[in-house]
Amino acid sequence: MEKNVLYEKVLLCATKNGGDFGELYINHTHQNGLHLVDGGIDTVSDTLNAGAGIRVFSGTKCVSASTADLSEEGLMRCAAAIADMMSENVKVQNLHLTLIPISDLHTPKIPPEVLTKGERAEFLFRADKAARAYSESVRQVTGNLWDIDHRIQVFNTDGLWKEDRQVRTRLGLSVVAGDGAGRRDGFYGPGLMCGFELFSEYASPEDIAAEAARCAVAKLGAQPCPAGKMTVAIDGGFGGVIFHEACGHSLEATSVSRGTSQMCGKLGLQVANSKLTAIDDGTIPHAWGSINIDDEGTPARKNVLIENGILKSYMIDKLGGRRMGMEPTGNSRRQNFSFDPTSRMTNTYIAPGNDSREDIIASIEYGLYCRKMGGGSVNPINGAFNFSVDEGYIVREGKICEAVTGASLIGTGSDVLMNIDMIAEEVTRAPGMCGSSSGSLPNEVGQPMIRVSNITVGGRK
Amino acid sequence: MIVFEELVLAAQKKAKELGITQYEIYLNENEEVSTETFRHEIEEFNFGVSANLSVRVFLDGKAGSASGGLVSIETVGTLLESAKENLSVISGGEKAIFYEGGGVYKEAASCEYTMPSAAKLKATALDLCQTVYSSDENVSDGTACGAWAGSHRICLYNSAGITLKREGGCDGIYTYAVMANGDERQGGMKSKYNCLDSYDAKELADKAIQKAKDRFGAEVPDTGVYNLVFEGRQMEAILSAFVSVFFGERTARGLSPLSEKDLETAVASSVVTLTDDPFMEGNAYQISFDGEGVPAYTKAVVENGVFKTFLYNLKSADMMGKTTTGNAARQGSNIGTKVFNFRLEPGDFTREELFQRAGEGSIFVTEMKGFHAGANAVTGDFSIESGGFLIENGGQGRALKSFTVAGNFFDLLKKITAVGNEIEEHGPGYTRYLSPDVLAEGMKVAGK
Repeated sequence: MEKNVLYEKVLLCATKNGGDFGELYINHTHQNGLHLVDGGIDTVSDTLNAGAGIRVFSGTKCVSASTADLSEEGLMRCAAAIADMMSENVKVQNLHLTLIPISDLHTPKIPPEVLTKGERAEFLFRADKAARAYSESVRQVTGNLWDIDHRIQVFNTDGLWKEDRQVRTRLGLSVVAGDGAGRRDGFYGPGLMCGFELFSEYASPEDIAAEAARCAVAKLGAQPCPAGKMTVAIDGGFGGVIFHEACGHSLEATSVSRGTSQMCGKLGLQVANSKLTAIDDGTIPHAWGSINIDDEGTPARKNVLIENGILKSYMIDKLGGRRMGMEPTGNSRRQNFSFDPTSRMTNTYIAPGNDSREDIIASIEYGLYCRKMGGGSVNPINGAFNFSVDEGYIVREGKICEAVTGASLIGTGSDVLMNIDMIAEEVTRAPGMCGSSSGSLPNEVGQPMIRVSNITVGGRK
Repeated sequence: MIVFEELVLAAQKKAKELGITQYEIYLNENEEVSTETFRHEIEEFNFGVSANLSVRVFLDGKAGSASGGLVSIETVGTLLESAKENLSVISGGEKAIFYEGGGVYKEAASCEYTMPSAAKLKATALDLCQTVYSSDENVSDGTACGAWAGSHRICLYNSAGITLKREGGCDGIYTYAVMANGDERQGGMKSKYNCLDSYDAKELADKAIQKAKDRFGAEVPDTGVYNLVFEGRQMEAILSAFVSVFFGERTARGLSPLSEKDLETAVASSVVTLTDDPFMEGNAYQISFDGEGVPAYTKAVVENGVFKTFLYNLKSADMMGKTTTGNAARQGSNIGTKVFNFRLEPGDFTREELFQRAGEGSIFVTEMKGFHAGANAVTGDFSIESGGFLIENGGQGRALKSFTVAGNFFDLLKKITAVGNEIEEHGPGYTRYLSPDVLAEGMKVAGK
């Protein structure tokens, strides 16, 4: 049986007892990983994840099932499990799937299959050598090199049939530096939606090693961070996690459609300082969080979320859109077949402002400069967020002074968005993995350097 | 269901073809069903079946591995081929160890389980939902009630002739009540396990609602140094964030603040005993073997404040010249280190007695978030967003929010002066962290 005929049969089976929309998603994902420690490769992982997820909607209700068995028998059993749960009058009558071609903005130049595992290991060896050469205080280097070849197919009862291939490559390097007083760690892990040209066109293993080692060595001798309310300058790159946590999650239909977001009902209202414009853009070529289509087949797009402080848009998936009476925005994502998709960010960043980096630092009488941020989390109901400072320095009288350690920043989204009162001119972005109900997904965060006039800094001193 | 013995036969045949004499195959299968309400209706129902088959092959002191979610007679052969190819890339100095057997396995309590019907799960979720909404007029959107069930099977075979199996399942119900009070909204969650035939919906609803209501009108505490009573759940989150400091491999790599010279020294207050117990009573998911097939057993990691042992798998034990403690973790084909039931042993004090010892103006910490970013297991430092209550008149007083608790894990362990006498109910699990409430004196809090 032709595959499309089989998939039509599966969708008609899933909707035979009712439902006004049915969807079949299939992924084949091949992930390779090499782990380096003590100068050698100690683990090579080679994982294939494949399976199907079927959903049927009836209005705003959803029944879903998933299976790793992609045989006709396995798919039909999965579809029948859904049909058994349905008892609705509205049914899908006819179905003819038609392949809709998509344009690929992210074709890899050196796809994973081109390099042997031994050739891949060389990237890690180069990084290890460079990190150890950076300083005599480097005590340990651990590295992970991942490449992921994620192929998806989406079919639905509107007749849609789309396919996409998403290839991502990332090298994450952790360096531990030590002196008589203790040890500190530094991390740098650039990743892009591309193949192994990551190292020839974007960041060499030596560049990655130098940055991870610099961060670890810079933190040696750092004292515990003072605690209390402060003015804080947060640099670009992963500093963009502040918007991701303080606001981004609250703009996802996942929470908005259920009325559990602090941003519900605020479209058109001022929710941030008028200097702030924020964007989610899944179309940036080769960006870590980019997609050609989302996991429902909707093309990725550039969504202006906040413009000059005014809330302009949410990020919406099909089911969330039904609940909200709004159209999908190309943000529906799932880690794989075993997770139901929901609205998620792609590449989210604060747009450039008009302030200079120098002016931002010079404006701070006493506060904290966060050169690198760690991750964080948020409660969308009340907007309470937290995130950690990976590399921070005290600022006195407009000058960056000593390094401090063990700091975190906490607050609520509504407060911090109003308190972002200076924004520099150049955006830098960084990759991360974001965990939520539809699994762990690649996201980019980004911003220029910003100043937050007043925020709680958690520290031990 | 896949017949594991058929996979073993296929692996034996393929291994012979490839000239592999030492190998291991590991199968993990799961089935899950869940349903959740929104407003007064069932809005989501999910059913999922998944599996993972992983193999490791051993040759010349190296181990190659591969894994996949497609489980069949054919894939076991493909995985063995990939694992053999991957083996050639391994260049680390440490020797991979194949488990030759010889250990004695303690019997784990029976965990037989029959999956409930979908109709039962839906009826349970709807019953909870109706009870919550009828319990208080201020229950609002965002409230969700759910019921779920899951079953699993773990099978391990290695070419030394070891075959190990474990299967089981459990179910659970939960109520997440979102309460509105003017513009303010707060949520409260309560869960119960293995109780589909005997739950008390009203009790669950009232507790979730009260938990949310208690959070209304929370204030930000002053920045300062406080005595803190950590609710057991929060101490468990701290233990989870820092358990890897006790892993032998982390120490051997220089990635833990602990070293071998710390063994038999005081790393915590004398009231702190940390035990890893694979056979903890009340946990339906007891298991008698670790991720490498080595027998699991109970051991004290810290006893009365004194550090007794690192936790090892076969390789990390060999790296440090020790014997494995049966703590190998398995993530697909990757081997790491894990704990089973990692427990801070209960002490003598009720919660009220801990409040009294902490003193007026101390803080009862009931919420901590962001450990994945705010805790550093290399240094032991942490700074965590927290919520809780002021201790007033000897009991739980005004709600507190938006503060951080910061410190170092080992400083915290040394600052624990009293331990509660009760551990709250937990769901079953192959890795669990358990702790009663603890009192830690002189902790740094950042607020206003």
